[in-house]
Amino acid sequence: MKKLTLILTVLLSISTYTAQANVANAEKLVSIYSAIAKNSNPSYVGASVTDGKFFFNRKIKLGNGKEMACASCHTTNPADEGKHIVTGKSIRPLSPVVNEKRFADFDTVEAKFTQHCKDIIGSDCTAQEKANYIAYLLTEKTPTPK
Amino acid sequence: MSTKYVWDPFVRVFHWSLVIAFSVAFYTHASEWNRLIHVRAGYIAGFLLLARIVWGLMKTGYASFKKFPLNPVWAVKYGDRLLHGHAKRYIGHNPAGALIIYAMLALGLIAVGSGWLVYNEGWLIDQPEFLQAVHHYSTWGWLILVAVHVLGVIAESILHKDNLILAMITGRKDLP
Repeated sequence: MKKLTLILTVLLSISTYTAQANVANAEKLVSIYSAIAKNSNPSYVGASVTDGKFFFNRKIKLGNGKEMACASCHTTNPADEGKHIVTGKSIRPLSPVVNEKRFADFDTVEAKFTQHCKDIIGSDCTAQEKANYIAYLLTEKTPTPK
Repeated sequence: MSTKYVWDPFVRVFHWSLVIAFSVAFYTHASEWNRLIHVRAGYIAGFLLLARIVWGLMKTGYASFKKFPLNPVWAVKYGDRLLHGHAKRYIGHNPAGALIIYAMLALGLIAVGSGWLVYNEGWLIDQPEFLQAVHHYSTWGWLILVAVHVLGVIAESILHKDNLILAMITGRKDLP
Protein backbone atom coordinates (compact mmCIF):
# COMPACT_ATOMS: atom_id res chain seq x y z
CA MET A 1 0.00 0.00 0.00
CA LYS A 2 2.82 2.32 0.95
CA LYS A 3 4.50 1.45 -2.33
CA LEU A 4 1.35 2.22 -4.30
CA THR A 5 0.96 5.59 -2.59
CA LEU A 6 4.53 6.39 -3.44
CA ILE A 7 4.10 5.43 -7.09
CA LEU A 8 0.94 7.53 -7.28
CA THR A 9 2.73 10.46 -5.69
CA VAL A 10 5.53 10.16 -8.22
CA LEU A 11 3.12 9.93 -11.15
CA LEU A 12 1.15 12.87 -9.84
CA SER A 13 4.26 14.99 -9.43
CA ILE A 14 5.26 14.12 -12.99
CA SER A 15 1.85 14.94 -14.43
CA THR A 16 1.44 18.22 -12.56
CA TYR A 17 4.96 19.11 -13.51
CA THR A 18 4.91 22.19 -15.71
CA ALA A 19 7.52 22.83 -18.36
CA GLN A 20 8.90 25.95 -16.73
CA ALA A 21 12.57 26.24 -17.31
CA ASN A 22 14.39 27.08 -14.14
CA VAL A 23 16.40 25.69 -11.25
CA ALA A 24 13.25 24.72 -9.35
CA ASN A 25 12.40 22.24 -12.10
CA ALA A 26 15.80 20.59 -11.87
CA GLU A 27 15.37 20.34 -8.09
CA LYS A 28 11.97 18.78 -8.64
CA LEU A 29 13.52 16.25 -10.99
CA VAL A 30 16.04 15.35 -8.28
CA SER A 31 13.18 14.64 -5.88
CA ILE A 32 11.27 12.62 -8.50
CA TYR A 33 14.29 10.45 -9.29
CA SER A 34 15.06 10.17 -5.57
CA ALA A 35 11.53 8.94 -4.87
CA ILE A 36 11.88 6.30 -7.59
CA ALA A 37 15.32 5.30 -6.26
CA LYS A 38 13.98 5.04 -2.72
CA ASN A 39 11.18 2.85 -3.95
CA SER A 40 13.52 0.26 -5.47
CA ASN A 41 16.17 0.58 -2.76
CA PRO A 42 14.83 1.32 0.76
CA SER A 43 18.33 2.03 2.09
CA TYR A 44 18.72 4.95 -0.33
CA VAL A 45 19.39 8.10 1.68
CA GLY A 46 19.03 10.85 -0.94
CA ALA A 47 20.87 12.36 -3.87
CA SER A 48 24.62 12.69 -3.46
CA VAL A 49 26.49 15.57 -5.08
CA THR A 50 29.83 13.78 -4.55
CA ASP A 51 28.61 10.63 -6.28
CA GLY A 52 27.12 12.73 -9.08
CA LYS A 53 30.43 14.49 -9.65
CA PHE A 54 32.31 11.18 -9.60
CA PHE A 55 29.83 9.72 -12.09
CA PHE A 56 30.14 12.77 -14.36
CA ASN A 57 33.96 12.53 -14.53
CA ARG A 58 34.25 8.74 -14.38
CA LYS A 59 35.98 7.37 -17.48
CA ILE A 60 34.19 4.38 -18.88
CA LYS A 61 35.97 1.97 -21.19
CA LEU A 62 33.96 1.38 -24.33
CA GLY A 63 33.84 -1.64 -26.60
CA ASN A 64 36.13 0.10 -29.09
CA GLY A 65 38.82 0.58 -26.43
CA LYS A 66 38.19 4.32 -26.03
CA GLU A 67 37.65 5.85 -22.62
CA MET A 68 34.73 8.22 -22.23
CA ALA A 69 33.14 10.30 -19.50
CA CYS A 70 30.25 12.77 -19.51
CA ALA A 71 33.02 15.34 -19.16
CA SER A 72 34.53 14.26 -22.51
CA CYS A 73 31.89 16.35 -24.29
CA HIS A 74 30.56 18.56 -21.50
CA THR A 75 34.04 19.41 -20.06
CA THR A 76 34.91 19.02 -16.37
CA ASN A 77 32.90 22.16 -15.64
CA PRO A 78 29.25 21.65 -16.71
CA ALA A 79 28.70 25.41 -16.41
CA ASP A 80 30.94 25.82 -19.45
CA GLU A 81 30.15 25.23 -23.10
CA GLY A 82 31.02 21.74 -24.23
CA LYS A 83 32.23 20.29 -27.50
CA HIS A 84 30.83 17.18 -29.22
CA ILE A 85 33.77 14.78 -29.63
CA VAL A 86 32.37 13.24 -32.84
CA THR A 87 31.04 16.28 -34.71
CA GLY A 88 33.10 19.04 -33.06
CA LYS A 89 29.95 21.13 -32.61
CA SER A 90 29.72 23.27 -29.51
CA ILE A 91 27.24 22.18 -26.83
CA ARG A 92 25.46 24.68 -24.64
CA PRO A 93 26.18 24.47 -20.89
CA LEU A 94 24.59 21.52 -19.13
CA SER A 95 24.16 23.10 -15.72
CA PRO A 96 20.54 24.23 -15.23
CA VAL A 97 21.85 27.14 -13.16
CA VAL A 98 23.65 28.62 -16.16
CA ASN A 99 21.37 27.35 -18.93
CA GLU A 100 17.72 27.59 -17.92
CA LYS A 101 16.60 25.34 -20.78
CA ARG A 102 18.37 22.35 -19.27
CA PHE A 103 16.36 19.89 -17.18
CA ALA A 104 13.17 21.77 -17.91
CA ASP A 105 10.97 19.03 -19.32
CA PHE A 106 10.72 15.57 -17.75
CA ASP A 107 10.14 13.68 -21.01
CA THR A 108 13.11 15.31 -22.70
CA VAL A 109 15.34 14.62 -19.70
CA GLU A 110 14.29 10.96 -19.63
CA ALA A 111 14.82 10.56 -23.37
CA LYS A 112 18.26 12.20 -23.21
CA PHE A 113 19.34 10.13 -20.20
CA THR A 114 18.28 6.91 -21.90
CA GLN A 115 20.00 7.84 -25.16
CA HIS A 116 23.26 9.06 -23.61
CA CYS A 117 23.49 6.27 -21.03
CA LYS A 118 22.99 3.69 -23.80
CA ASP A 119 25.70 5.38 -25.87
CA ILE A 120 28.28 5.29 -23.08
CA ILE A 121 27.30 2.70 -20.48
CA GLY A 122 25.33 0.43 -22.79
CA SER A 123 22.10 0.56 -20.80
CA ASP A 124 19.89 3.17 -19.15
CA CYS A 125 21.15 4.73 -15.92
CA THR A 126 19.45 4.07 -12.60
CA ALA A 127 17.13 6.58 -10.95
CA GLN A 128 19.74 6.97 -8.21
CA GLU A 129 22.43 7.87 -10.75
CA LYS A 130 20.09 10.37 -12.41
CA ALA A 131 19.22 12.00 -9.08
CA ASN A 132 22.91 12.29 -8.16
CA TYR A 133 23.74 13.63 -11.61
CA ILE A 134 21.25 16.50 -11.53
CA ALA A 135 22.05 17.25 -7.88
CA TYR A 136 25.70 17.64 -8.89
CA LEU A 137 24.91 19.82 -11.93
CA LEU A 138 22.91 22.17 -9.69
CA THR A 139 26.11 22.91 -7.73
CA GLU A 140 28.05 24.00 -10.84
CA LYS A 141 27.14 27.67 -11.06
CA THR A 142 30.18 29.47 -12.40
CA PRO A 143 31.58 29.25 -15.90
CA THR A 144 35.37 29.14 -16.05
CA PRO A 145 36.69 32.74 -16.45
CA LYS A 146 38.15 33.25 -19.91
CA MET B 1 2.14 -7.49 -75.27
CA SER B 2 4.51 -4.61 -75.77
CA THR B 3 7.12 -3.06 -73.52
CA LYS B 4 7.13 0.59 -72.68
CA TYR B 5 10.02 2.55 -71.22
CA VAL B 6 8.52 4.51 -68.30
CA TRP B 7 11.10 5.46 -65.67
CA ASP B 8 14.27 7.20 -66.84
CA PRO B 9 17.64 6.40 -65.17
CA PHE B 10 17.53 9.54 -63.04
CA VAL B 11 14.19 8.60 -61.51
CA ARG B 12 15.35 5.05 -60.77
CA VAL B 13 18.70 6.05 -59.29
CA PHE B 14 16.96 8.80 -57.29
CA HIS B 15 14.37 6.39 -55.93
CA TRP B 16 16.76 3.71 -54.68
CA SER B 17 19.33 6.24 -53.45
CA LEU B 18 16.63 7.90 -51.38
CA VAL B 19 15.64 4.51 -49.96
CA ILE B 20 19.26 3.92 -48.92
CA ALA B 21 19.85 7.46 -47.61
CA PHE B 22 16.67 7.45 -45.53
CA SER B 23 17.35 3.94 -44.19
CA VAL B 24 20.87 4.92 -43.12
CA ALA B 25 19.63 8.13 -41.51
CA PHE B 26 16.89 6.22 -39.71
CA TYR B 27 19.19 3.47 -38.50
CA THR B 28 21.76 5.94 -37.15
CA HIS B 29 19.36 8.48 -35.60
CA ALA B 30 19.61 7.50 -31.94
CA SER B 31 23.31 7.31 -31.14
CA GLU B 32 25.65 10.29 -30.74
CA TRP B 33 28.44 8.07 -32.12
CA ASN B 34 26.63 7.95 -35.46
CA ARG B 35 25.73 11.64 -35.51
CA LEU B 36 27.96 12.48 -38.50
CA ILE B 37 26.70 9.53 -40.57
CA HIS B 38 23.11 10.48 -39.70
CA VAL B 39 23.65 14.10 -40.73
CA ARG B 40 25.38 13.20 -44.00
CA ALA B 41 22.73 10.66 -44.95
CA GLY B 42 20.10 13.32 -44.22
CA TYR B 43 21.87 15.90 -46.38
CA ILE B 44 22.13 13.39 -49.23
CA ALA B 45 18.39 12.69 -48.90
CA GLY B 46 17.75 16.47 -49.03
CA PHE B 47 19.83 16.93 -52.18
CA LEU B 48 18.09 13.95 -53.79
CA LEU B 49 14.67 15.47 -53.04
CA LEU B 50 15.70 18.85 -54.46
CA ALA B 51 17.16 17.21 -57.57
CA ARG B 52 13.93 15.26 -58.09
CA ILE B 53 11.92 18.48 -57.86
CA VAL B 54 14.17 20.18 -60.45
CA TRP B 55 13.86 17.08 -62.66
CA GLY B 56 10.09 17.08 -62.29
CA LEU B 57 9.94 20.72 -63.36
CA MET B 58 12.22 20.47 -66.39
CA LYS B 59 11.64 16.94 -67.60
CA THR B 60 8.94 15.84 -70.02
CA GLY B 61 7.45 12.34 -69.95
CA TYR B 62 6.45 10.25 -66.94
CA ALA B 63 8.96 11.92 -64.60
CA SER B 64 7.39 15.34 -65.18
CA PHE B 65 5.12 16.86 -62.54
CA LYS B 66 2.71 17.66 -65.37
CA LYS B 67 2.20 13.94 -65.90
CA PHE B 68 0.97 13.41 -62.33
CA PRO B 69 -0.69 16.63 -61.17
CA LEU B 70 -1.50 17.17 -57.50
CA ASN B 71 -5.25 16.69 -57.26
CA PRO B 72 -6.60 15.43 -53.93
CA VAL B 73 -10.14 15.00 -55.33
CA TRP B 74 -8.92 12.64 -58.05
CA ALA B 75 -6.77 10.89 -55.46
CA VAL B 76 -9.75 10.20 -53.18
CA LYS B 77 -11.88 9.08 -56.13
CA TYR B 78 -9.10 6.80 -57.32
CA GLY B 79 -8.68 5.37 -53.82
CA ASP B 80 -12.40 4.65 -53.67
CA ARG B 81 -12.34 2.88 -57.05
CA LEU B 82 -9.27 0.93 -55.94
CA LEU B 83 -11.16 -0.34 -52.88
CA HIS B 84 -14.06 -1.38 -55.11
CA GLY B 85 -11.67 -3.18 -57.41
CA HIS B 86 -12.29 -1.24 -60.61
CA ALA B 87 -9.56 1.38 -60.66
CA LYS B 88 -8.21 2.34 -64.05
CA ARG B 89 -4.59 1.42 -64.73
CA TYR B 90 -2.14 4.30 -65.09
CA ILE B 91 1.19 3.80 -66.83
CA GLY B 92 2.92 6.41 -64.66
CA HIS B 93 1.79 7.50 -61.20
CA ASN B 94 -1.91 7.11 -60.45
CA PRO B 95 -3.67 10.06 -58.70
CA ALA B 96 -3.47 8.46 -55.23
CA GLY B 97 0.21 7.64 -55.69
CA ALA B 98 0.82 11.18 -56.91
CA LEU B 99 -0.73 12.64 -53.74
CA ILE B 100 1.54 10.51 -51.56
CA ILE B 101 4.56 11.49 -53.66
CA TYR B 102 3.90 15.21 -53.25
CA ALA B 103 3.37 14.68 -49.53
CA MET B 104 6.67 12.78 -49.33
CA LEU B 105 8.54 15.49 -51.24
CA ALA B 106 7.17 18.22 -48.97
CA LEU B 107 7.49 16.39 -45.66
CA GLY B 108 10.90 15.04 -46.68
CA LEU B 109 12.16 18.58 -47.21
CA ILE B 110 10.71 19.66 -43.85
CA ALA B 111 12.40 16.66 -42.18
CA VAL B 112 15.79 17.42 -43.73
CA GLY B 113 15.48 21.19 -43.22
CA SER B 114 14.57 20.84 -39.55
CA GLY B 115 17.36 18.30 -39.07
CA TRP B 116 19.80 20.72 -40.65
CA LEU B 117 18.73 23.42 -38.18
CA VAL B 118 18.81 21.02 -35.21
CA TYR B 119 22.36 20.02 -36.09
CA ASN B 120 23.50 23.63 -36.49
CA GLU B 121 21.94 24.80 -33.23
CA GLY B 122 21.64 28.57 -33.03
CA TRP B 123 21.29 29.26 -36.77
CA LEU B 124 18.34 31.17 -38.23
CA ILE B 125 15.75 29.88 -35.75
CA ASP B 126 17.22 29.51 -32.28
CA GLN B 127 14.46 27.29 -30.90
CA PRO B 128 16.11 23.88 -30.30
CA GLU B 129 13.11 22.22 -28.63
CA PHE B 130 10.70 23.39 -31.32
CA LEU B 131 13.05 22.29 -34.12
CA GLN B 132 13.63 18.91 -32.51
CA ALA B 133 9.88 18.39 -32.27
CA VAL B 134 9.45 19.35 -35.95
CA HIS B 135 12.28 17.00 -36.93
CA HIS B 136 10.88 14.17 -34.81
CA TYR B 137 7.29 14.36 -36.06
CA SER B 138 8.15 15.08 -39.70
CA THR B 139 10.49 12.08 -39.94
CA TRP B 140 8.04 9.69 -38.26
CA GLY B 141 5.32 11.14 -40.47
CA TRP B 142 7.56 10.49 -43.44
CA LEU B 143 7.93 6.87 -42.36
CA ILE B 144 4.12 6.56 -42.27
CA LEU B 145 3.96 7.98 -45.82
CA VAL B 146 6.58 5.42 -46.91
CA ALA B 147 4.40 2.66 -45.46
CA VAL B 148 1.32 3.98 -47.34
CA HIS B 149 3.40 4.28 -50.53
CA VAL B 150 4.66 0.69 -50.23
CA LEU B 151 1.17 -0.65 -49.47
CA GLY B 152 -0.18 1.27 -52.47
CA VAL B 153 2.53 -0.15 -54.70
CA ILE B 154 1.77 -3.70 -53.56
CA ALA B 155 -2.02 -3.22 -53.97
CA GLU B 156 -1.58 -1.73 -57.43
CA SER B 157 0.86 -4.48 -58.47
CA ILE B 158 -1.60 -7.19 -57.49
CA LEU B 159 -4.71 -5.46 -58.83
CA HIS B 160 -3.31 -4.61 -62.23
CA LYS B 161 -0.87 -7.55 -62.44
CA ASP B 162 1.77 -4.91 -63.00
CA ASN B 163 5.06 -5.39 -61.13
CA LEU B 164 5.76 -1.79 -60.06
CA ILE B 165 8.85 -2.70 -58.04
CA LEU B 166 10.50 -4.35 -61.02
CA ALA B 167 9.53 -1.36 -63.18
CA MET B 168 11.38 0.95 -60.78
CA ILE B 169 14.50 -1.22 -61.29
CA THR B 170 14.38 -1.81 -65.06
CA GLY B 171 12.36 1.27 -66.01
CA ARG B 172 10.15 -0.87 -68.24
CA LYS B 173 6.54 -1.95 -68.10
CA ASP B 174 4.63 -4.55 -70.06
CA LEU B 175 1.52 -3.23 -71.72
CA PRO B 176 -1.33 -5.49 -72.80
